[in-house]
Amino acid sequence: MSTTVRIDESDKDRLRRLQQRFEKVHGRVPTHQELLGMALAFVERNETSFIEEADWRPFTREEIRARAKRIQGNYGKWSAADIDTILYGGDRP
Amino acid sequence: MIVIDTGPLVAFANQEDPLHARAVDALERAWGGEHGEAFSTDFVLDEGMTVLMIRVGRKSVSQEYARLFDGSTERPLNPMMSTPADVLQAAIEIHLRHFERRLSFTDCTLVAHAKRRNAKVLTFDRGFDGLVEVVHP
Repeated sequence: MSTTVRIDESDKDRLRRLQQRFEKVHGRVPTHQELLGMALAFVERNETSFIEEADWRPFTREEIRARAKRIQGNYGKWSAADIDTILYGGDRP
Repeated sequence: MIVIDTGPLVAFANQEDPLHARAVDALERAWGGEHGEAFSTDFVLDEGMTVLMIRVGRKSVSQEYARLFDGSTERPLNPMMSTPADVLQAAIEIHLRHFERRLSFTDCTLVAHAKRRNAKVLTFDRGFDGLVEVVHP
C-alpha cells in the first residue's frame, strides 16, 4: 500500500542536496523514497533530540527561576572565565 | 537561534562566580527566546561536566548540570544538539585555519554549529570574535 505525501519545493531542494551529498560519499543516487526512509530511521535513532528541536518554545522567567533553584549554589571562588585554563591547562598567547 | 557556550552555564550555576549575575541575565533572555531557539551541544555538556567535577567535585551538582540538557523526562532548559560528522569536519577545518587563535576544539565545534544554523554564540570568550556573531553577557 502506498500513500502520497506532498512535498513543497524547498523540501524537494533539500532532498536533492541530500541526494548529491549521498552520491558523493556512496557513489550512487538514492531515490527520494529511499532517502526519506533513511531520514526517518535516523530520526528514530535520535528521537529525543528531534522532538526537542521540533518543539522548541521559550521558557517564562518563572519557569527558568524554578529550574535554576535546582542547580544554583555557592561552589567556590573560581570563575567561568578560567574554564580553558582549568580544562586545557593554558592561556592563549 | 543562539548556541550557548559552557561559561555562561557554569557561571549560572555558581553564585560565587563574579560572572554569575551576567550569566543569569543573559541566559534568562536566551531561554526566554530573545534570540530565537536556544541550544547547547554535546561538547558543552562534556566541558561543563568535566569542569564541575574538577572545581566543585559534588555529584549532585554534576547531576543537575546534566539535567539542564536532558529531555528524557521533561522539556530541557538547555536542549543539546549532537555534533554530526559534517559539523565535526567543519570544526576541524576551523581549528586548523585559525590555529593561531588557540581556540579549544570545543569552541571550534560551537563555531561550526553556529555557522551551519546561522546562529549566534552566547559566550564570555573573546576568542570567537570575528568568526561568528557573538553575544557577550
